[in-house]
Amino acid sequence: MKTVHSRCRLTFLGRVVRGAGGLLAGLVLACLLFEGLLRLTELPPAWKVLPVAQANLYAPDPLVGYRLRPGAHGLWITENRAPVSINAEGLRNPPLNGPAGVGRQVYALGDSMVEALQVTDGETFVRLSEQALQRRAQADRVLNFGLSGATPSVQLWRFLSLTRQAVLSPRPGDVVIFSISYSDFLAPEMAGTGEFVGYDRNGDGQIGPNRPFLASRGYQMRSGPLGEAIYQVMDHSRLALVLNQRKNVGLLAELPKATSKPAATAIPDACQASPRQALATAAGHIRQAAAPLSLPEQRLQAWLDDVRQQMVNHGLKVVVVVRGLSGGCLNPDEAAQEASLWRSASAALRDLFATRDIQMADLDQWLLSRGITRAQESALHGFGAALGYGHLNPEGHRVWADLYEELVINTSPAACGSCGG
Amino acid sequence: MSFDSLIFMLCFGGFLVLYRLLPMPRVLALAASLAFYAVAGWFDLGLVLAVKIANFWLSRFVTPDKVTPERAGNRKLRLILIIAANVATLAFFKYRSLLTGGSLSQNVFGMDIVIPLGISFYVFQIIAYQVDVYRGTVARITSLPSFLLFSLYFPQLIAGPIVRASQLAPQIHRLSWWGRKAPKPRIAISFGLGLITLGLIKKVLLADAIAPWVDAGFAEGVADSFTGWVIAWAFSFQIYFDFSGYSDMAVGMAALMGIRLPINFRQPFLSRSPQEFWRRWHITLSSWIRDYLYIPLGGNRGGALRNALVLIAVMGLAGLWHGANWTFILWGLCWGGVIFLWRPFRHVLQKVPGLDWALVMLAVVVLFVLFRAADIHSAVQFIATLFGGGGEGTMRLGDSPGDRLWVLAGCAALMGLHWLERRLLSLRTVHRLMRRDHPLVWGLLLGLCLWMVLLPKISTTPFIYFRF
Repeated sequence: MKTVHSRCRLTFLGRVVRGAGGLLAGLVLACLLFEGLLRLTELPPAWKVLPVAQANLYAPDPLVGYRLRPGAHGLWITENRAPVSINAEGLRNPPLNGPAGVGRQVYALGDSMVEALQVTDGETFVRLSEQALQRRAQADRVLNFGLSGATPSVQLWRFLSLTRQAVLSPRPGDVVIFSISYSDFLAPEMAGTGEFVGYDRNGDGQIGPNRPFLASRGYQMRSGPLGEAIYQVMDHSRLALVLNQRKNVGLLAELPKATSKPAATAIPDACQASPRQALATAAGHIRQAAAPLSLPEQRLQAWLDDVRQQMVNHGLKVVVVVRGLSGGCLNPDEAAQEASLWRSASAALRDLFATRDIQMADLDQWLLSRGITRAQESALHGFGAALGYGHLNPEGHRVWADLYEELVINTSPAACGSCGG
Repeated sequence: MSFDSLIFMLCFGGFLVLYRLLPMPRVLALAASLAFYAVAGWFDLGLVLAVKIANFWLSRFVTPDKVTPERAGNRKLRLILIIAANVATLAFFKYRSLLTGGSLSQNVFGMDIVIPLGISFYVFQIIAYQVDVYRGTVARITSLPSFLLFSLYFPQLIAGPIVRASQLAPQIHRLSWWGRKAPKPRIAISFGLGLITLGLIKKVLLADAIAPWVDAGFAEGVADSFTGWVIAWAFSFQIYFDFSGYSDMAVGMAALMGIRLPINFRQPFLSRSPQEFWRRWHITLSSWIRDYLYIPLGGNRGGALRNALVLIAVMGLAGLWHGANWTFILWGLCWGGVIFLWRPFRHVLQKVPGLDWALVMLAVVVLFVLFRAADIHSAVQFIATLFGGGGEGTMRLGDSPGDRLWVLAGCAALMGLHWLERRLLSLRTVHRLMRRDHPLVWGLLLGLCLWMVLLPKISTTPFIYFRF
């Protein structure tokens, strides 16, 4: 009897093990098949239509917090699809081979609007403006320093870090163009005290990376051995990229949400914070500074001082393109009523920047001066059915290229000579 | 909760384990159905429960009374009133804009459309049940929980197949409330998983991949005839992959629970006549319309004129079922016209090889423009562009001849996949899957399903028929 029982048990166990083994083997086979499928769909022109794994282009950085990974390349599929490659210096540029050349270097700093992963490298306004300058026989080289999510402080600190690492060697007369949103100064990230990257001052008053971010658990994990291993796996496996992307959007991303409209990230920037607060802050600059400065004003002024100290005083020409100064996110009645106030605020800000020898370009005003109304501006953003929302589309890049071309020309020695320095 | 979401897959997997292990399959199936629908919102759940419970109670008034058959006249009147009440419910929630003086211009492809989830499907299902009970072709379900499970059975609740009581109720009765485990699947687990995999391939890899192009084409408008044909062709396949993918998954999930649901699509784009197309497209709706609308209204009986009127009216109503928009009504009316006109010429058309198929596809593609367009004006513009009119849109595909060749190859590939599906979904495949009902195959199919739901969505488009 005992023998029969143990034989039955063994048979049962054997069946369970065999079943589990078969199931596991099937799962492994499915992984291999899907990995192969995702690699197949990356072949042209299938990648334009079929599901592909989005490349992982970012990595932790001990100085700035995060950066574009040098040498990374792959397909970007959010909003629009484009093959993207990052050069050896961690910039979205062609390789920076050889000396800088005779012309000036133009450093286009900014956030994801400048980084422009949604379009091919040749379609970015950085590249287009460089080509336009070359057509004018100017040897200036325009470099893309865009980094998704980079606040004004990250833009400044990243530039300084790369200079200190000798990745960059800016020369007097070179041009730095920041692209910022006015609402950036309303966000707490600008204070540099949260777990978002920024910069801080050490005891000597020198600028350095902010500590809370470097001490955060996420950064510690990403920059440790486990993070390194994960990045290695992502370099070699499309399935790992899918898991990474799923982690970014959330495991339960498909659960019904309260709102389903796409997030407007680009056009009404001022709306992302509090438009009224933005307006009040901008208007605060018009009032003479007898009243105590608000927190955003303090942040703005401190940032301008840092830019002046770190850049202008070293002979660099600095231009700041500010967007979100038109109040277009208020309802139409309010916007019309307060349009003149916005214009005054813009002029006051321009004066404020000028006191630090920094040129300010109001993007919204510039677009209006080109006959591009608020409604027409929305056509410069977004792709396909999501036209009007999101980052710049190729047409938007063409328009921004005109602005950057104009800004660079205006900062040329000849232009400055004619304008009386 | 959408079938192609990770959260649903995890929940369904957990449910299935409990369903197989615990001795209360009917309780679990009912609880899962209620929980599934509750995700849509408490209002939607309350409404569907109210409709179902009311119909459960009302069904006793249409049941054939063997003791007093002379009261049959009253029964018919009661049935009419019950149907009217159900139609009024549907009309109130789906066509409210019309009742409040609005126009027939509801854009169901926009983001602002809000109707109770699956109302068109479950109201039609319940009307069919009441008619069947009246006719005596199905026995009245006397237990409320059983009735709720029949009418809320989650794989088919939101977007069909529209399952009739004669198909589902006997299978539900075989499930025990307590004391016995769920019956073993009558067909292979591999078959159920295979259908879910096929559905996910159609939805995630194909329909969602096509969707951004189609959405852009209809949002921006097309600039030339070539782009127009490609976008219209692509939409035809998008809606097929989307809807049939959902149906395949529903049938596959039910199969894993030991329940057989009817097949809803049989490769409709291989049809050689409009009639055949409707026998292959959304089969459960087509047969519903035939049995509960077309035949009661006279069907093929009477003269040609009466026949044409009935056909066109029925198809128009079928179009209206999709939404309160002239585009749907016109889509239905045109199909009625095409079916009617086809009849006298069918023998001639069949003589030239491929001509009948080409003409059916022409009708399908052109009429789907009506279905997809936001309004009649846009539809007319689009169709004019197809036939050489000046495209007012901006979307243009294929700048160079080489690009155009690739686009055409992609379009041909869609039809190739359709043909392949026909070869795949044969009885032989079912037998093969039954022979290979092995953990290795389960693991393979399960793994593919998981990876597909893990893929971040290209398009946030939910299943198209969720809107109806």
